[in-house]
Order: sequence, then structure tokens, then C-alpha cells
Amino acid sequence: MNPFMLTGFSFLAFYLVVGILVAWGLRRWIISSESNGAPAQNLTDPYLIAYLRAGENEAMRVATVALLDRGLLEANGEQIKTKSSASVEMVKRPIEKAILRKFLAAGEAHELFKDAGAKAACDSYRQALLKDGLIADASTYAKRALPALMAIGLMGAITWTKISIAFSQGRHNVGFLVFLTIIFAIVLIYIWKRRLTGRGNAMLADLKDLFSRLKGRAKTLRAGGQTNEAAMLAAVFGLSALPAAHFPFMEKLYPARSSDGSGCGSSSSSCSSGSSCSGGCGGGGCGG
Amino acid sequence: MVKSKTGLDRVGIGWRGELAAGIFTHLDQIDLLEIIADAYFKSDARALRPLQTLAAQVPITLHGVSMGLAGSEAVELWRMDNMARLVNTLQPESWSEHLAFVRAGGIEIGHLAAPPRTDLNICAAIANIERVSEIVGQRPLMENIATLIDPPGSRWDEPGWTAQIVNACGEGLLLDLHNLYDNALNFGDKPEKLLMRFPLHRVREVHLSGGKWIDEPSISKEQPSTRQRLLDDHVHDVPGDVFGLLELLAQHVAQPLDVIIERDGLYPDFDHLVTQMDAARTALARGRASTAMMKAAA
Repeated sequence: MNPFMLTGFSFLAFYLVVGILVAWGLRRWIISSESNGAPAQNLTDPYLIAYLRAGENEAMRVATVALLDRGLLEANGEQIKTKSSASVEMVKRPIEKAILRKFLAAGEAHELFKDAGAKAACDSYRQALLKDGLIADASTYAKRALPALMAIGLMGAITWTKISIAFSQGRHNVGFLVFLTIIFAIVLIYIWKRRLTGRGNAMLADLKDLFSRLKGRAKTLRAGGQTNEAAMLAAVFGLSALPAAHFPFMEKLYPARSSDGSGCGSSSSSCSSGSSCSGGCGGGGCGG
Repeated sequence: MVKSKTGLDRVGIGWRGELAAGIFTHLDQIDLLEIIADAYFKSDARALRPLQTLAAQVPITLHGVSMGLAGSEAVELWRMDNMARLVNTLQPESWSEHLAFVRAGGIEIGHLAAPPRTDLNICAAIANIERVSEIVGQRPLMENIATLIDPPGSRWDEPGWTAQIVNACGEGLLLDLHNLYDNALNFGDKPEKLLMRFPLHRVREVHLSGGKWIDEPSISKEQPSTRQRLLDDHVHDVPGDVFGLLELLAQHVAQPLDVIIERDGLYPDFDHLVTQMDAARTALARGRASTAMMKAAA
């Protein structure tokens, strides 16, 4: 059966299926072709992981929350202020120094995103991730360009052929097909422009898997910066993984990103892949 | 695989998902991680990727809990295949199992149990270990277990029985010092004396954990037991006496030791576990220093 002879809803359904398959194929090609190489090392910095997951602003957000949690920053409503100028020298990481310097004068959280010092500190994370091939650089986009253009070209060719046939038969109701073509072109460009490489994507998935049990017990995390657990959890899963009850300042500072932590699932269900389950003894007597 | 951070002895901790953040943020203080192998036996290549990412950060070892190599029955091939696949995929520095039986006559006990220490059992354990070594391609380190009962029908004591098996197979010993401590206290031995009777030249790895005292189960309601037994539960801190045993061990062996802190629940702040790892390092250093002093004096 010639699919170009289909009309109306039948052809649109066919076009939709082809479009989904092409988008899926492009995504799979990108992931598989960019997933080579050994896993990255030194994934110990929560801000690096936050940058990997969601970019510069997210690294700044996680660092700000970590500093608030450690009591080096204080929040008053939507305003943040560095508690003591001495703390700028106390912290080690450049991003923390930059944030504490920025808020020596009180300001709103979002003002940080334009701060040159914080941006410069984040650039070291960008460079590290580029070096490890975890985020896309110009050569990555160039490598993706041909398959992406072929995918867009294929969808365009199908549309062109169908419109030609329709016009030759005196039908001009092609508006929705043109609309679908534009939508698929946008989707394919979005896939082409993805910030993470296949390797970065896999690395992030690995971290989420390794930390899934911690996410399951997020509600038990205490505020107060006794450990880096909160910063790590926020880095891997986002600020919404932190329980708002224990981190109340987040609601005012980042209202769109805070939550009550109820979306974290349970620890018992976080082992679906089997790769995060430890299989320990748990107190009932072990002997081993 | 990443290189170890220290020269001689190394100290690490058992990987538990609940401790992930603490482990990742303290990797500069952790020389190696031990991963429970059985949790990943059903995992496909995709599900094992996170462990490869973990292994890229720090040296790893694998620890099995369900093979039952000291049982009198031959271990099923699929269990050994699972371990071989994991070892092949993750390339750990070593892998280990227990000198225990966990099933008999088709019944899974669900617990590590001490077999009767007989000549026949020694032969069966050696056969199992030889076979699994061939299939996995790497000899396991064999770990002593804690037991609340002295296995009836035993002809050997625990150190002698252990020595027979590990010497015959030529493999290393994973000495769980808390298990040894439990067994000594539960059966009226002095822990230090019991330690010295083990084949210490075979020890490659050490486990440290904690436990609690429990009432000994009564035989009947009419005869309630008044005794207590020390249970190895992995949810309490390592007792000071066990660090003392580690110091004694380090004093009496020349080979490098890998020490793993085991914690399976009631997780404290990770800094507390770091303190326990530091205490192990201190005990090792004291033991080594003591040997050096004795050599110098001689």
C-alpha cells in the first residue's frame, strides 16, 4: 500500500508515527554514538553534578542552598546576605567564594545568575565537563548536524510529496500537515541541540541510580549542613528533592523548585533496576 | 579501575545506597569500597553501568553472601556464573565469600550458618572453592562467620578448620574481626588468643562491624536461659576491643591489609563512619609501628 495515497486522518496518523520513529532514531543514534569511553572520574563535587544536570544557574542555586544550609548565608524573605565577611576566606570552592562575595551586600537569589564572579567560577565546571565529553561542544553539534538535517529533510520530503499529490488532486487542506512538520522540525532541532552528550546523559542516569536510596530517605535529611548529603541530593535530583519542611528558606527563594519532598518515592521501591540495592544484613543478625 | 590512594594498608567501607552522598563526598578518605555482589546478580549490562561509574571513582571489591561454599553440596553453576559475569564486568580488585553453608537438601536457610567442622566438610568446601575459582577466573577470599551455636559433630576447631581449607586452596582469608570477637566471647575464648590461632599469613582483607548482646534463646519456658550472646548485626559501631584486635593483627602480619567497615542500618552521620575508618587506620599504624619497633630492638 502506498502511504501517500492515504488521506485525512489516516495520513496524519502515518506521518505522526514516522515522525516519532525518526525523532526516536535520531535520539538513539546520538546517545549510542556519544556513549563511548570509560566513566568519568572525580564526580565528587555536588556543584559539578548540578551543572551537568541543568547548567550554570542550577549549580549556583545548589551552591546557594548548601551555603544557606551551612549557615554561611542567611535568608530573610527573598533577600540573601552573607553572615560574616570572614566566611569568604573559609570556604574552598571558587563558586562558594563568589556567592559569599556577591551577597556581602544583601540581594535577591536571582541576582546571582548575572554575577560575573559566579559565572567565572561556573566556567571551570563547564570546562571540566567539556573535557570529559559530558556536555556537547561545537564539534559534537557538528557531528550531530548531518543526521539531524537528514531527519528534518526526510520529514520535509514526506510533507512536500504529500502536498504535491494533494494539490495535483485539487485538495488544499494541508494546514495541519504543515503544522505537524514544523512541530517535528522543532523537536528534531531540540534533540540536535541537547546540552548533554550521550555520555553525559548516561553519567547522570548512573548517578541517579546510585543515589536512589538516598532519595528514598530524603525526608530524614536534617538541615544544618552536618553533611554534604543535602547538597548531593539536590545536585543529582534537583532542589525539589529536598524536603521543604527541613529547608523552609527554599520556598521563598526558589518557589518553583521547592516541594514537600513527597515526590521522592520510597526506599523500598527505588531498587527496581537492582543496581542500587545493597543487600546488607540490617540488624537482624548477620554473621558475615 | 582507579589506583589506590595509599601504599600499604587500605581502609574503606561497604557500599550502601543510603550512604551514597557521604561516600561520594568523602572519596578522598576512602581507599576502597566493597559491593555486595548478590544484589546485582539479576542486573543486566545497563543496570551495572552505575557500578562501573562507581568503580571509576575508587577501587572496588565484590562480596558474595549466598553461595554457601562451605556447604557439603556442590554450588549450582548459575550462582558461580553470576559471580563470574560480575567480576568480568566490574573488574574488582578481589572478590570474597563466606566459609558457611546457606542451603541443604534444597532448602534455603536465608542465613549464613556454620557447618559441622569435619574432614568431609573440608573436602567439600575445597571442591566448591576450586570449582568457583575456575569458573570466575579469580580465587575468592574466604571469610570466617559468626555463629551463635558451636556446630555439633565438629572435629576441628574454627581456626584449624579454616586453615585446612585456605591452605589447601592457596587462597586468601578475609578475616572478620567482629565475627571472631563474637565467637570468642560466645564460646568462652579470649579474642586475642583465638586470633593468633588463625592462619594470619593468609589474611588479605579484614571486616570490622558491630553487634549487640541478646538473650540466649531458652530451651523451654520452664528453663529460661540467663546467658547472653553477642550478635553480629552490622548496625552498631565497631567496639574498641575489635580495633585492638586489628592492631594485634597488623603487628603480626607483614602483608598489606584491606580493611572494610560494614554498616547495614541505623546509619549515623557519615562523619561518624569516617571516624571509624580513622580509628582503623590508627590501629593499623599502631600495629605496624609496634612491629617496626620490635624489629629495631632485635
